[in-house]
Amino acid sequence: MNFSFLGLNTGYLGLAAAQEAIDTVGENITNANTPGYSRQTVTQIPISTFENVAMNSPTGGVLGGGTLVTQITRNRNQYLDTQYWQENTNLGEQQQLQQSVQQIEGVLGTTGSSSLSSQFNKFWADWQDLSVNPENPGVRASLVTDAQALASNIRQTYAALKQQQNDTDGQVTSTVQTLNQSVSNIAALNDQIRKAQAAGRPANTLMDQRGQAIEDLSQYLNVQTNDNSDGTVSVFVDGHALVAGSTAYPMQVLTNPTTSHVDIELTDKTVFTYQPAGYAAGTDTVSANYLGGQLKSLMNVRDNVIGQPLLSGGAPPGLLAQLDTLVRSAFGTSGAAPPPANVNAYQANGVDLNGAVNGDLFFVQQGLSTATNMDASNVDVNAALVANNTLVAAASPPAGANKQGDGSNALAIAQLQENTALVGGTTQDGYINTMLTNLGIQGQTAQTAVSNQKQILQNIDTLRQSESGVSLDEEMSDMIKYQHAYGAAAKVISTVDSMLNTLINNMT
Amino acid sequence: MGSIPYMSSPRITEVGMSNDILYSIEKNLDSLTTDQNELSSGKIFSLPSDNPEAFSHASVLQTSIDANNQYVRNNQMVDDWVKTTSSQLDTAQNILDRARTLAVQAANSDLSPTDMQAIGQEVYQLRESLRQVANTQVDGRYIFGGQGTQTAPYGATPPPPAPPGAITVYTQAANPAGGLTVELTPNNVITYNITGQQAFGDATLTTGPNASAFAVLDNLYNDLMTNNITNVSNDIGNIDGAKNRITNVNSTVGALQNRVEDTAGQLTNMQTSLQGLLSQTQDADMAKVITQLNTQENIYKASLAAGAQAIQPSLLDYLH
Repeated sequence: MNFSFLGLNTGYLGLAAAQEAIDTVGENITNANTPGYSRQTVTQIPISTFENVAMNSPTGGVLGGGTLVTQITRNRNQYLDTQYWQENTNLGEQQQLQQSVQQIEGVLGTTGSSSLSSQFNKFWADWQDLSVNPENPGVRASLVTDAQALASNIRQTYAALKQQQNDTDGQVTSTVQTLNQSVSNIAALNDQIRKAQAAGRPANTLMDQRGQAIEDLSQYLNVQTNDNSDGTVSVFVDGHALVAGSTAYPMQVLTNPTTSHVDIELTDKTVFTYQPAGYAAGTDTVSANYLGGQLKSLMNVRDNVIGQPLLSGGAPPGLLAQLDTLVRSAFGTSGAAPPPANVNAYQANGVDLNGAVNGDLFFVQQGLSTATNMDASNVDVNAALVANNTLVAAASPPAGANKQGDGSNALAIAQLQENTALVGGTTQDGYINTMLTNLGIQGQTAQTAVSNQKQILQNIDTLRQSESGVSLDEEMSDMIKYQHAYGAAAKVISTVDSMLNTLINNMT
Repeated sequence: MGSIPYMSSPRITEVGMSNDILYSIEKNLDSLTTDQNELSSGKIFSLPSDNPEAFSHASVLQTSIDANNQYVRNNQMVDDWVKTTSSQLDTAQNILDRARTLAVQAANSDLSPTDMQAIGQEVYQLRESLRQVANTQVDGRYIFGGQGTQTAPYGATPPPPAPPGAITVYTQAANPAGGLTVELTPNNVITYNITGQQAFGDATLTTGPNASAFAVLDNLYNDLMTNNITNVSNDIGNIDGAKNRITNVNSTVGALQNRVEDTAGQLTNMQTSLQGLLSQTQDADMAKVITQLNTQENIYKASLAAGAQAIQPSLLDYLH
């Protein structure tokens, strides 16, 4: 025969188990819409009373000793999480690229009469008009005004691109600040989880919070994680630790000596940059490609797509360098006679309306009369020509008094529009067209990638939800189940209680 | 539920369902927005990234159209000039014809010196008319002035009334010279002017077969005023020479005129076909877009309705 109070104990254990199960159900229901929450399920086992066989062991069946909730399991597929974070990084990278390219297109890719292409067309057309009507002051005035508008448009476009670069610096800096907060948060959570696990009580909700923090991080950076045996998760970027156990290794921004824009430096002094040339020898520089995520695209667009000015060592296909090449090749940097053929070469060696070779350049560095250091940031029409447009050289050399009707020099300049070697081995319009089309292709590719990534993430998330999501219907039916179990266990207790009552009080 | 390419999920949760529905709705809304933009702008792209290939093609076409418009303007300007040149040369021809008739009359009829002088007066007037013809301007530019288009090629001031007796035969230090060029079509550059020397002869000479028509008429005038019938007979030959010169030059101008007209026709055709190509490249097919928009709107509404149906009922509604 079994011990008399066994029934009471069994009943009580049943109550406790049902209570814990219902509490878990309550927790699940309240957190059904919490982002990053993993549903929790109770694991119940029957308690075994099995002892080693001895002489006075009971014979016949062995009765169990009740039930016990051994653990509250957090239902989470870590592999799905890792997959999600990786794809999220790709989405972050492509989305930022798409946005940044669209911003550039807003400046460069306009169509219509205010576009760079249209203004260039107007400029060449004005030279044609001058070639057939060189004496006409109205035609001269139009040419100079339109040229000023063209130069102004080029300068403004350049300035807008530079502004975007500066804004990107601000974005990178504030992103790094946000990331550092996340990183500290993860380290703190790691510490708490480690302590909880050491005490034998795994902290499910803390783990959910940590997972969510890493997920938020993954959009900005390509993070790799490593689960440690003490329950902490270490977070790495390109193999360098951001979080190791309970220690956070925050990042900081560093000003690049060549470009004056900001790069990212880790605590271990590794620098992520696209422009390593300016740093001192011995600095551990890594290409910012390995950063991944939004940060990579921000820095990529700033340093590679927009790039550095030509005269500071930048090169095409960076947009600033391309604009500089356009200005310097098409307009010319000196008054030397052609070849190479460009606007300044013809203007400086041609004959003006007064019959003289005045040697003035047409396009100069703003405020000066030379074009040696002229580029897209400072191009302007020579102030001498603006003040006196008879100095525009429409006639061909040699100088002479009765050549007001000669427009052949103006024609030579107008024909530069068709010159297939004017800028970068192609025409001026071909150069701009290629520049914009390449940009457009980059944007379109990013758009397609964003769409694909969203689909991929949706698929993974569906699986995640399937594994870790709370189904209210399921929780409802579980609640009913445990409620009945609770009621039944309570009934067991009261039954055993009345049996004991009979035994103790009524057997005299 | 979304579009899962592989296995279906064993567990469906409310959050999962609403995520799926939201994703589909967002995708449909995206397509809807694209169609709406196309309809309102009338173009299939607004930024290069919308359709890089079409953008590139449209950009090239637009530049060609702009260039073509400029060539049309060039053509119109030259057309005016050449027409004026032709009609002025015709007038000059008529003046010389009249002068010849007078010279013949003077040479062959038995006229008194007074009559000769009367003829001389008319020759003087013809001479002045010729000067005005030679100094014709188009848009403030002297058409026979060569490159010196701002200076009258044959004396800016009109001569005094005919004096009695001989006058100084007209001469000047240099002839107006220099060609004026225009680009009619790409790399097709022509000279469109006739210089004074080509039309009226060498104004630095006063006698001889190459002397200017002005000199010829001045000589005729002098011969008439001095009653020199022999010279008047010889003058007829010189007038013929001047007339032939103008005839030859006028046929050159005629050929030029044809060329300009042909080019105008080519340019107009080019304009039409370029505009057509541009429209094909960048314009939205309105009928197609409107149909697409309607279809997309229906799809969107359907996804909204499906969403509303799917996430309403739950076990909660049925428990009491």
